[in-house]
Amino acid sequence: MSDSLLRLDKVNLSIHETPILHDVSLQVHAGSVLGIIGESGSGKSMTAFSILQLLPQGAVCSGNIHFDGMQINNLSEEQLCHIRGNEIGMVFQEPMTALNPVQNIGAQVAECIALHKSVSRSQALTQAAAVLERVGLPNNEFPLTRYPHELSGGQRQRVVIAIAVALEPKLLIADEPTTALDVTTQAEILALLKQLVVESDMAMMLITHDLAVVSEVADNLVIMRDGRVLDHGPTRTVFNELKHPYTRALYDASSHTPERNASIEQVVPLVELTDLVCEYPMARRSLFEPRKMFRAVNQVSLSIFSGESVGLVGESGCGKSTLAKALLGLSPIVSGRIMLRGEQVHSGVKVSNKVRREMQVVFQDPYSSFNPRHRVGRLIAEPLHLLENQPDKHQRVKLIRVTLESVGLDGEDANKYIHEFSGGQRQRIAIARALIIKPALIILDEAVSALDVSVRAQVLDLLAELSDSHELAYLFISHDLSVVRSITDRVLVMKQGQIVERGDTDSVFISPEHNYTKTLLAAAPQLPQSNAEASRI
Amino acid sequence: MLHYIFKRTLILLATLFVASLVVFVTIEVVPGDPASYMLGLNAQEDTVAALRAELGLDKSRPARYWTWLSGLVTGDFGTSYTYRTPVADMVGDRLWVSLPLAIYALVLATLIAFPAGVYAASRRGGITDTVVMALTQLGVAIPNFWFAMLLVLLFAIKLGWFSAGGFPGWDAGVWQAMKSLTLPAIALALPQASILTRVMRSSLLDVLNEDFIRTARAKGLSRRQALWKHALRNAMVPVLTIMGLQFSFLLAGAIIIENVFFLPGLGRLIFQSIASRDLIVVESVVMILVLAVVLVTFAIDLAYAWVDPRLRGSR
Repeated sequence: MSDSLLRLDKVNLSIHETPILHDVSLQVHAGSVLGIIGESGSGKSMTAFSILQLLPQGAVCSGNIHFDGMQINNLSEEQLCHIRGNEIGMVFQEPMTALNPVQNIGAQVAECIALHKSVSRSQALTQAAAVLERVGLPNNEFPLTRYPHELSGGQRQRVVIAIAVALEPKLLIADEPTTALDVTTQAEILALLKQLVVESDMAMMLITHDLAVVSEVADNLVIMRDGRVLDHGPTRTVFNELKHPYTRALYDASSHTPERNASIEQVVPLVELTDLVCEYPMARRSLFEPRKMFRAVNQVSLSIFSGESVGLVGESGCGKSTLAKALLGLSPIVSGRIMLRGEQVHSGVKVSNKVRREMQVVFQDPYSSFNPRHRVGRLIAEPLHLLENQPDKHQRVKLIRVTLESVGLDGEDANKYIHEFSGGQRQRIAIARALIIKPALIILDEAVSALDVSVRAQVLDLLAELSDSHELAYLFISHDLSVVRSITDRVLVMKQGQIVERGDTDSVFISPEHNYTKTLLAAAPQLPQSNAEASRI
Repeated sequence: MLHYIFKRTLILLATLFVASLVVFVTIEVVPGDPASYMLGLNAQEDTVAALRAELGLDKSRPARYWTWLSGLVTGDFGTSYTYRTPVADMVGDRLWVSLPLAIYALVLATLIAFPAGVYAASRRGGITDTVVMALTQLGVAIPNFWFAMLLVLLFAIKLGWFSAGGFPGWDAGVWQAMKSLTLPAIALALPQASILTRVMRSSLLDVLNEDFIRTARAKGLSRRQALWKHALRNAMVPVLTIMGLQFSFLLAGAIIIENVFFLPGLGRLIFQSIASRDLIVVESVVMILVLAVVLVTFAIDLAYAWVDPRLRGSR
């Protein structure tokens, strides 16, 4: 088509002779939004970097990339520098690290302006102020002299967007711009991007792994896997037809609800928290003032019954992780009571092994929560020291094998190292480590947040199955509402250290009462109904 | 920022106080009585006692600590047991050799290390990088006194550009004084420059992998611009740390080089004083070195805050 702003034609990319992209062809029309969807390793980010030729060392890129009627992949570095930031802006995934920590935000936005336009420093700063205003950072509240560390994640992402749109580029490439943000912040940033696209008739390439996010914004979709474009077309059509099997698989995984049959025994609560208060000291403002305490958890009461799955949702900083740590005895409590099977457990400083045996935890990051120098067998056998009767060597080996098999891995995997496993497998290993001493409760702190949708669906199935077979209770902490909805029986909504709403998962999601719950639910992007899905059922 | 400086100043004063206690106590437990050492083996009991009284050694320990400390604060460091001259004079003379030498060596090291480190980092994996890394390996490995002797052989004996040793004093003119410090400074700077180059390079490489460098490149900055405008300042914190450690070392640790070049520096003074049980000189020189180290640390702390706004605290 002649009116496309950006056209990639059979682009191939290899890095150190490892092929990354295979014959990627796609186009973006002026003023429209193209969504690129794919799981990790699908090559979606590398496609974006190929356009700007911001590739890692050892990368070889072939094929044709046309932008605004000009082939740009054979331009000199100097010519490319002219296009970058000026005609094509880019927004990245990690707002926390995407800004230079030692430069104030005014300087960072103005730099882009001064680089491409012949303006004085003060003119550049004036223009930067206007751009920041435009992305929702009013100058009286956020002066140009602010440093990135003085801003929240969402505000930092606004600064990154300001840099990208400062010169009103024709194309904006946004690589997972909201992945690291809370749902309400995500909704705000998506609204801002949409607004900027409409206001300045800019085209946008939105790269994401989240089908729901892209369905709300994109006109056209491209679905990638293993460096290849598998499916493409107008968003509605792609969702309605689910033509390609992989598109259908992604769609199913995104809306996956595991089957759960666990029986809940509602006699004595397994865990009961009463009026729990946790505080931690804030940074000192003056040397002679006493330290102020920040109340992270404020008068929280909750109970979890055996076999039950309880969700705890809230945005970052609401105190949900502090609550989990207090429950595990990893952080001190100021007042309140924690009871396990009717016995008080949290009176002193140290939590007994008996309590630790009953509660285990699985954390978010499957990559950094293991010691890379230990074999898997040793990693998952670690909690065994909590047992009163230590198993002998033979029993140990058998226990490791059985546990690995129960999470769907092979008994032989005990001899491997953690780097030999994928993200989903690592999270299975983390679950195995929690399971090995047969706890009654597993706290899952954002345990599936870092996983791809298809892997996430498998892990959720595994969790559902284990809770049936092991009578496990879960405390499922997450900011992802759709996941919480799919796996929990009851849900608690936490805001600023307090539980603002609680109830059966379905009734909370269908008819929320507290305004905050309503805001959260409204902000969460919805997967569109698919005709193909409807006809199949 | 003021809060930060205030806090650092308090830490500085506390460190000095604790250091003075440690120095005093340590010297006290060292065996050997200065008075009997000064008078020799055949001295009479009462002569020794008289000298002890004269030197103030017969007073109680707290009293002597107090005299010493209050003297330090007012600039009166006492009188050398051996030379019977004010310690302040002796130290002052030596300081005017050691301090310029340390600064000279550090400036040289920095002038070599910054460009070399930046150059190697910007051409990672290339031939220049490999060569620079090999040279720094060599620079760390070569003992500096041996390197100093090679320098003397070439520049003093063969070419006759510099003198082989000695120090004419600052009265002989800045040019002459600097000239006599040049070879020692080069000898001292070589290993320091090698270490600093490596730190600069690896710190820069770390920063160049950060996300904000990608943001800078996406703005349209060239690789070189991104390095100079965004990477360098971020890479400075580890480099400053090493520079602070190096300066402290250069001030006191130049003793071998001072011996090779016959320079009347602090290192030689402290060595001679220990040998002759001139404890009051040892105490004073150690305190001055502690003061120098603490002041350098203070300066480095301030430099951190200048480089990194996150350390300035909330406003």
